[in-house]
Amino acid sequence: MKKIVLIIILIFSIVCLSCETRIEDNRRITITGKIQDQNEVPLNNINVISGNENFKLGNIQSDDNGEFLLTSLSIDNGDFNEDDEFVSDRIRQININAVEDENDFGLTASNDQFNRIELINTIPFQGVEINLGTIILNEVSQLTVNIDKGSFADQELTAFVDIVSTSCIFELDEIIDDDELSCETLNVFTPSRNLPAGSNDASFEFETLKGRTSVISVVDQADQTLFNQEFEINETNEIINISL
Amino acid sequence: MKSSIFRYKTGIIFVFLSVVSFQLNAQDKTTENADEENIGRFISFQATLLQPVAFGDNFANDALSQNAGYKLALRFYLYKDLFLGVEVGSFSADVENKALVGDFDDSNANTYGVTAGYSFLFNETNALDAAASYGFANYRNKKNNVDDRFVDNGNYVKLQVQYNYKFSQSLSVYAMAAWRYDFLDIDASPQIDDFINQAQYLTFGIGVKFNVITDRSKLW
Repeated sequence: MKKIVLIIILIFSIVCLSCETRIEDNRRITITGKIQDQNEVPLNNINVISGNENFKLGNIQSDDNGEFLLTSLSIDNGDFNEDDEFVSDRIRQININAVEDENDFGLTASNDQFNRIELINTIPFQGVEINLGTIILNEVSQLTVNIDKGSFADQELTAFVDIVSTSCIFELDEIIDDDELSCETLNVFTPSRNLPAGSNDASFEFETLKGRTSVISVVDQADQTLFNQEFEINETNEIINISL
Repeated sequence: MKSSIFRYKTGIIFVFLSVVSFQLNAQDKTTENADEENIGRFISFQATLLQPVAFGDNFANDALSQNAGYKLALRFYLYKDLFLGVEVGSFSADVENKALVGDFDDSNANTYGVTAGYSFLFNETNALDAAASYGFANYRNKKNNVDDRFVDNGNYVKLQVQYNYKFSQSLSVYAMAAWRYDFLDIDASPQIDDFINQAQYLTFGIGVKFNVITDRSKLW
């Protein structure tokens, strides 16, 4: 029994040692780029963070020209390649227009008028500099949908709203030699909201991209469409009022 | 880099053992009735409380805030007032601008080096020491929530002047000022290489010096 306990402790020790994150000695990685909107206007005070799954390695804001030069620490965790050289991915992620919150970083925008970009690195990185080129951020709209159920107040309805994702993810090695970085094909998804029976009005808030269209539809319990219309989202704070 | 550290440490130990060996040999030959005028120090040990002040366009000045530190030195007076010695020093610094150096919180700047210089004796109680030092410098950096410190290694050169006031044959106090230049071996892009791989300090300190007195006539 003691042997089994010892073996379990040994296995756990090895696992914990192997998963411990170390910061690499004698190395800094610089990440450069220029952030602007779709009209080529430079964006200042956009936060750029480098890190891994657990913590930040570097952090900076873009200047008045939209440019940034981020000095980042480097992760030492890695493995030996076929030439017996130790290699590490060094930086696991770069978040553009993101801030650190209590539990994580990269999930909240530093400037909520623009979308976020996340770059993920999964391959060994040997260099000391990453040039992201020109980074284009799209404007975000805070969309409020107010629904007046009218004669359907006593029925339970469901509303569907097409919205565009305000963040996108790239593999770092796929974009590292590109001159321009932009979320050209952002995901469109359609969240649903329940409109319970017995209430006349309902209001829902979404975040989507400005300049895109959004289809809003309302169906009843029998999936019969009561409302279906496409809207242009042109305002930073767009309010759509629907009366059934 | 570990071999570099090993060479420095080995060198310092070699110098120390060589001089101590020489001292022991000399002491064996010391007569009991040494002339008062002939007595002199052979070894001095000094401890310094110091405050570094970084300057220039470099990481130490623009991103770190230095705290008070210390330096310990052992000097061997090999020929009259010419001395050779070893020294270790350390001070801590808080990271004030993480955007310039990376996201860590504090650093311990340590030095291990050899020093050589000369003591100018003005009179019985006043002396001025001038010394030059060279050695190994490392910055042991700490990021909160990460257990191990990571290290930036390099070398340093230092020029120092020190005014001594002698209370007795074996005890002095002093005030010192030094210029120190660190040149590090951090692998970094050319955009930040000069900024991240050098540091300059003016260092001011006070300290106490203990002299081991022996028969000067038997030493040189």
